[in-house]
Order: sequence, then C-alpha cells, then structure tokens
Amino acid sequence: MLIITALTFKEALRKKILIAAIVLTLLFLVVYGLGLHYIAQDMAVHKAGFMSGGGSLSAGQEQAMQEISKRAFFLLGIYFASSIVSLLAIFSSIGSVSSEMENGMLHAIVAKPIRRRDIILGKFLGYTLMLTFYSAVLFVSILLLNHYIFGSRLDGVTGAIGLFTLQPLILLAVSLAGSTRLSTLANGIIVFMLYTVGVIGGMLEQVGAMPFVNSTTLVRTGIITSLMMPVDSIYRMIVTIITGTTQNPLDAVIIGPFGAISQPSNAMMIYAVIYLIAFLVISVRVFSRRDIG
Amino acid sequence: MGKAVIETKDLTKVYDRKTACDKICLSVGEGQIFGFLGPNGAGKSTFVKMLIGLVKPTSGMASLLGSPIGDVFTRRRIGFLPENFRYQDWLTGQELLHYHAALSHMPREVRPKRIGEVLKLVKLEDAANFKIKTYSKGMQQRIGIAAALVADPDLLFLDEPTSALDPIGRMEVREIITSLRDRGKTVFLNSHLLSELEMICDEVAIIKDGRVIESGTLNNLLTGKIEVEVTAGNLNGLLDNRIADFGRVLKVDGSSFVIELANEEKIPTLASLIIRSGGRLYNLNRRKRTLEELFIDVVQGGDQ
Repeated sequence: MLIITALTFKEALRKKILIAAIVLTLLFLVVYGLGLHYIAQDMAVHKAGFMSGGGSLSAGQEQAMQEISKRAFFLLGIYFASSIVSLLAIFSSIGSVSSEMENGMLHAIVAKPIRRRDIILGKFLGYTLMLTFYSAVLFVSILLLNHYIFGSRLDGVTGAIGLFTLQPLILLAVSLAGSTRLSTLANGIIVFMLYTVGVIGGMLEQVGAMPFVNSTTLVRTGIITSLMMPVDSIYRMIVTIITGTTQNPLDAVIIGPFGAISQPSNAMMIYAVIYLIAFLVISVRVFSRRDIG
Repeated sequence: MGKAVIETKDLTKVYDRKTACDKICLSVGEGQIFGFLGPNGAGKSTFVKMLIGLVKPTSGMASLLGSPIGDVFTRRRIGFLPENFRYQDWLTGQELLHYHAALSHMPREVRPKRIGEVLKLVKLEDAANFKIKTYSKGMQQRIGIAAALVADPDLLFLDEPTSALDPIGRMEVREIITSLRDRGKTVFLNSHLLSELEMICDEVAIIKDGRVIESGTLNNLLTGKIEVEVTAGNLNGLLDNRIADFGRVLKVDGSSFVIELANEEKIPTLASLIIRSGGRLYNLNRRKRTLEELFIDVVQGGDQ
C-alpha cells in the first residue's frame, strides 16, 4: 500500500499538480494580503474621519465593530481557501482510477502481488498527504496574514485547522469512489455538481436562519444538502470555531451567508467522518469486484 | 510435458449476454512456450485477464503454479506484459523497474543488480535514466518486458510482446523468450504474429468465438495432414479423375498442383501413378503446413 502511496504523491509532484497549486495559491495569498492591508488602512482613515467629524464610539462599540470586521475578512479568506482546496481535491483525483483503467496503466499493477484494496487505500493516502499538507499551509498562511496585517487573535482558531484539512478528504473519498465505477468525465461532473449543491444548500440554510428571513424550509433544505455532501457543514463548523458559538446580531448583516448563523451540530461532524469512511469502503468494494478490461 | 503450471477447466466469462470465453479447458506444462492464437474478438485477452486476475470468471476453475487464480502470494512468481502497455511516463525507466520490483516484493538489496540485468537484457541501459515519455513505442514495449521480467517470474504472460518492435527487436525478444524457456520458465504468448509463434512455440491453442477449436504440440498440428506439391507435365487428364481419388486437390497452378493425402504411403503411390500414366514428374515436394495456413484453415473451417 505504501508503495502506491509514495507513487501517488510522487505523481502529484512530478506532474506539477502540487507545484502549480502552490504557485497559484501564493498569487491568491498576495492578492488577499494586499486586500487586507488596504482594508486595514481604509478602516483607520474612516475611523479618524468619523471621530474628527464629531462622532463618538464607546470602547465596547469600537471593539465590537473591529472584531466583526476582522472576522468577516478572515472568514472571507477561509471561504475562498475552502473552495480552492475542494476544487484541488476534486480535480486531482477524478481520474485517479478511471483514467488508469481507460489507458491500461492499471493492468500491470493489478497483476502484481498486491491486493486491490491496497491500491485504493494507497492512492487515498497519497492524495491525503498532498491535500493535508497543502490545506494546512494555506490555512496557516491566511491565519498569519490576518494576524500580522489586521491584528486578529490566533487563540482558539488553530483548532479549526483539523476541520479545514478534513474538507478536501471528504471530496477525495467521493471522487475516488466515483472513479472506480464511472468514466473520468462523468465522475468529474457528478462530484463537482454534488459539491456545488452542498455549497448552495449551505448558503440557503444560512439565509433561511437570518432573523429577518427565518425560513424553516430553507434551513431544512440546507440540512438535506449537507447530508448529501457535508463539506459545507464543516466550513460552517470552522466559522463557528472562529466566531464563537455566541453570535453577534451584526454578524448576520456583515458576514451574511458566509457565516454560521445556523450552526452545524457535533453529530453532523461525526456524520461527515462516517460519510468519508463509507465512500472509502465503497471505493474498495467496487474496485475489488469489478472487471478491469 | 512437465507438470502443469496453467490449468483451466470450463473457464467461462460472460459479459451481459455475450460469451467471451466458453468453457475453456487448457493445460500448459512447465518450461514451455505456449502460443494462444485467435482472430480479433475471439476471447484471447479476456482469457489472459482472467488468469492474471484482472477479470473475474463467470464460472469454471483455473490454477496457476498450483494455486487458484487470484492468489496474491502466487503472483510473486508471475510476470505480465499487457497488450496496451502503458506506464507511468513521468518516471524514468529505472524508476519504473524499481517500482515494479517493489510491488513484486523483491528485497530492496537485490533490486539494483536485477534491474541492471533486465535493462541490459532489453537493451535499454543507456536510456535507463530518461523519462519514459521520451521513449519511442518500441522502447516502451521493451521497458514493459523488463517490468514483467524484473521479479524473475516462473510464469510469464506476454500479450502481443513484439507489436511495436522492428524486425531486429522482434528477433531479440524471441531470443529472450527462448532463453527463459532454457532456464525452465513457462511463457504464455498471445500474438497475431504467427510466423514468430511458429519459430518458438512448443504448443499452441487456437480460440474462436470464445472456444478452443484446436490445440496441441506445434509439431503434431503442422504435420497432421499430408500435403504434397507436384509439378508434372503430360498428365493427360489424370488430375480430373484418378489423382482426385487420392485426396483433396487444394490448388492447381498450370502444371503444378497441391494435394492433401490421407497418409504418407500415398506419396510413392501417387508418384508411381503419374509415371505409369506417361506423365513427366519434375517435382514432388512434401509440404509442411505453416502455422498461418493451419490458423486460416481452422478459423475459416469453423465458419463452414
């Protein structure tokens, strides 16, 4: 299994998947960092203008406003980073089994003295190493940018890193399972659509939970889509860790559908882990039973 | 025949409603080169894929090296070159062989020496450190053969091993295959290149529509029927009556004809008849059938 893991990881490096992702991520971080820098400058200018115009804020009001603004921009970064790692997980693995079956590369490997489950688990582990490394670096980069430019606090936030690295692994398991049965193209379309449904459902749930909307139907829709694809729930749990369980009413206005007005339960996190394991088991079972023609 | 290293009994594969292999029974002895022939779509590759473990049989039984097919441990002693050879082209030739050696559980310390040997065998030492994507198709086929051989298997399945090679490359691969036989290895060869199979195979089986329709030692199959090529003048209508009684006239070309005789004793009788009847016998040559002729005869004969 570890031989397949090493080969999968090496493939990601040799085919420059990881390198390309890192280069583009650096670009994203530069743009994001510049955005934070100029937003921080603007906020200081507006505050000075407000005060010189005779305005006044209590210390509590000022702190609350700053905290919400910082959280909003931090969450914005995490939201886009979640999308990036999710797409990397999908596109790096959609053809991991199907394309090798289609072009015959798997024939010589399956004929070796190795169990088919080890091929699948080896591939999963290889991609997991790549995605976990990448996600962790991305999350920490966003965290540090917010800390140094915006002065955001880091305590209590680092715990979210585990959940952040879990997101792509769920998509990886689904993509791998699809790849054992479907063609690369069909698998790509299905996994991407499933991911999109999960994200849109998650947004609808947040909108439905806003005090001025308060729609049970939208919230239920979000829960159902989260059961279909729990990646968005994990993002909402990350948001909950970052913002705290006690919500400021202003969060709904400023953070909006990027926030976690409707917070996922711990049971949903356990469900997400079971979901990942279930798709991994499906991958192994389907691949072990199918003909490789 | 040595002890059987490949044995199948009623091995069958049905895809939806199409029967790719229909109750195939074969036995291949140790130390043989066994040729498996058939027209396109006859079920050759499906049969090999069942033995190798890529495709699950619908019914029937099979064993390789004394163990049931699918036994992972036994696969350590088996090498396989797929028909559509395709390898991780972002690896170098040497890295690919290390990878295949590792997958075959070859001890790490013996890998470098063995990899050097197989690279030399397939004449790729100079290209060992180049990426496979820079290899020509022939070189890719050679590295595929090297990957199949790297674990020094006792049983080797080669599916069209010379399809991308030039005549010299084919000769070299033939030499590799016969040298394997000399070392007691068994080679199961799937190929369309009948002349090549004829040169090296001990036994062959011909498959059509998923069923084995002819099998045996090459010698028996090619000499089983007596064909004689005759060139004679002044036959005076002998061909139309008395000669035709000897057997089936396969071909007539001017003063030459080819006739299939029932047994060897008919040869001197035929010569005697021609001479006694005033014919002038210029040539009488007992022909050995080629594998290609046997193949066409058997495959087309099955259509009738």
